[in-house]
Amino acid sequence: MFMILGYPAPLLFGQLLLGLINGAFYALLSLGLAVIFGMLNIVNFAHGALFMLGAFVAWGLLNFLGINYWAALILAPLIVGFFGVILEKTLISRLYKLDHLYGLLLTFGLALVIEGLARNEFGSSGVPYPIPSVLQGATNLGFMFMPIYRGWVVLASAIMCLITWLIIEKTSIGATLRAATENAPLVQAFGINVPRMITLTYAGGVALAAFAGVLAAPIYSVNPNMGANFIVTVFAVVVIGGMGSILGSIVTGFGLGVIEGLTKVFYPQGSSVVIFVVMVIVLLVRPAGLFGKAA
Amino acid sequence: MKLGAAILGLCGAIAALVSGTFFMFASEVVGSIKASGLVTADPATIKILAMIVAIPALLAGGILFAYPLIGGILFFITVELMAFTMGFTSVTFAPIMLMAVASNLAVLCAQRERATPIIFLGFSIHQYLALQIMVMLITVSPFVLYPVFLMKVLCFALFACAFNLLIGYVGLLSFGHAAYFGMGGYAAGYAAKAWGWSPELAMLFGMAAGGLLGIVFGWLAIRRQGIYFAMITLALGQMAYFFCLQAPFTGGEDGIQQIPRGKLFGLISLQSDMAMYAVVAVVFLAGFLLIHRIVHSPFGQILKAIRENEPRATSLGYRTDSYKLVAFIISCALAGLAGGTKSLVFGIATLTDVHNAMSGEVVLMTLLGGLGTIFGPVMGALIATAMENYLAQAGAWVTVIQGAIFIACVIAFRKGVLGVLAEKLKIQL
Repeated sequence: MFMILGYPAPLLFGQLLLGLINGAFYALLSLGLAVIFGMLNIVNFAHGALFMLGAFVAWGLLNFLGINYWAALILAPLIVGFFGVILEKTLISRLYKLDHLYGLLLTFGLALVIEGLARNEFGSSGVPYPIPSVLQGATNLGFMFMPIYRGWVVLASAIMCLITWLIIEKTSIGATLRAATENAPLVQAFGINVPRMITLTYAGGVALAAFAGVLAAPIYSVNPNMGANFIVTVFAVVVIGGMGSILGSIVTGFGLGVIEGLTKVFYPQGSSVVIFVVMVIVLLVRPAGLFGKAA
Repeated sequence: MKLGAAILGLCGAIAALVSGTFFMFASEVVGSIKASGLVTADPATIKILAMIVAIPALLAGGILFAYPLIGGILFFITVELMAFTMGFTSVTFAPIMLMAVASNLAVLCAQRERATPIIFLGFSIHQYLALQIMVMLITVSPFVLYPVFLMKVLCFALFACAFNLLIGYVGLLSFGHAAYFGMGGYAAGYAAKAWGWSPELAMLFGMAAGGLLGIVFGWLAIRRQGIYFAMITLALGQMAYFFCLQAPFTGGEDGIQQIPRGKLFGLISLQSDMAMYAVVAVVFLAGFLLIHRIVHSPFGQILKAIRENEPRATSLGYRTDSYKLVAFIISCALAGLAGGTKSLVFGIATLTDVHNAMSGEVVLMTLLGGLGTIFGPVMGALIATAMENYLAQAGAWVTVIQGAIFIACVIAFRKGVLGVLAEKLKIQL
């Protein structure tokens, strides 16, 4: 066992991996938040609740329909995305002409309802979700033992982030989306159905959250509070990164996860607040956020 | 107007007379109160309370001659407090009540004779009447309902009013207001328990703690506008929560327990719920009137200008950031006061009060009662607290109902209960 800066390497790398996993979730969630905010001008407070819903849908699919993890990884985001379509059509679409704050309040209410219902149904302790058999066990990387599933989470979310980035930056759909974010009436004038696009954007952002939820299900027990614990931190991540940039969200998410993981090694008491401290520093130095444009 | 002033003058004179008598014969009055059996506080307490009440009553009598409306308000509060200290069997209560009604009629008459609304210290006649109803309810309710519940309502009402100062009048949504509320609670609780401070000092210490935290967090948060402001305050609130979870003085998961209520000014024991209630009621009213005064000062007008159009306020030469920061600090200090008072009432300061859920609750109260109305937050606090108390056995359903109320308010009911009521009655509340 070799040491780095006086700490045993396995400990350091283990926390680094945990940090990367949290960072993966931060990245996926803040990415969805950024996409939704860009298009709808709404901060989706329900994002954490929908992340949790994704995990519960995966659990339900497995336990009631016998649908395995791999199918759930695709189905759960689709189901939650469809739920997002309903939410957007029935509730959120009524708020576009109002102050942004009402969107925050509405989605906050949605989060309370979803989390409250889940707590009624499953209690606060939650239910377990097994790791799929292929990804069980650990592998020796030479410098540390890595549980395969954890590696898979980092990999899968990195791929998902990359795909989202490619879609938004490199495809014609993405180009339309970016154009509509800049100037919706103009895009509408070109004959593109902007309201439908808004709905699908919301569904897409929400599906990303659900995808993260399914990934998280085997790591954390599937419980009603898993989203609420994340969402505030994700807000801080969004403040740090600025919501203007897709790549920015991804980089900030992973980066902060790593910083959080390292803090657990070097100064465990500070690990719960380190992201907020970073936020404070960023606010002092660069109020618009690392990747944000000055508002 | 002349008729009104005359009637008011008369009322003032009688009030001065009555309260003067009250003052002089305090010991007799105390005897009668004890005999009535309605107030269980010890005689010394009643005597001091009677004196505290009688002096402003004398002042109120004098002011009534000069300023009908403000005199009327002071007079009414005095009357209510007198009725409160004396209990309802007292014979003096009936004539005092009559005088109160007369003074109201007088002001209403005065309003009818004038085309422009009578506004004094920002209270229109309707708000003035609403204020009286509120003060009356505050006075009467502890004899009908459980005082501890009412104290909880009043603490939350002050908290919601403080929050409303920001969202309703500056347009700033602070989503982490529980931090200042909870920190005020911890500070007051710690001061009262560990240092043995008297309750009024402990409450003021809680207020200072809330205000200081507000200075730091506000200074950081006002760097961003709108939705970012909400997210930053939320994140800072969460940071405060984690801090309280680990800090040595908060007692972690256990919180600070068995906080003594102590003796007010070192004299009056607040052990009885009624005595504590009187203090809480006074603290609430003072905070409420202060907020109202701030909103209707020139400073408050600038705050409203910032809410309506910040760039324009800037272009008119106002340093909008400074104004926002000062409003933020005031709001936080009052939230701290509310939290401090609550921890003294219940003798406990816990993580619940710093948690984000509490921030959500205060938003709910304000939204439900009516953003930017003076009385709305009070109404919202009453409804929300009552709901929580009576639905306590429903468990997690409370969260669901709260969420549903949020959704309903935002979709269909943005003006809140009092906002809608005011619109129906075509008045301002």
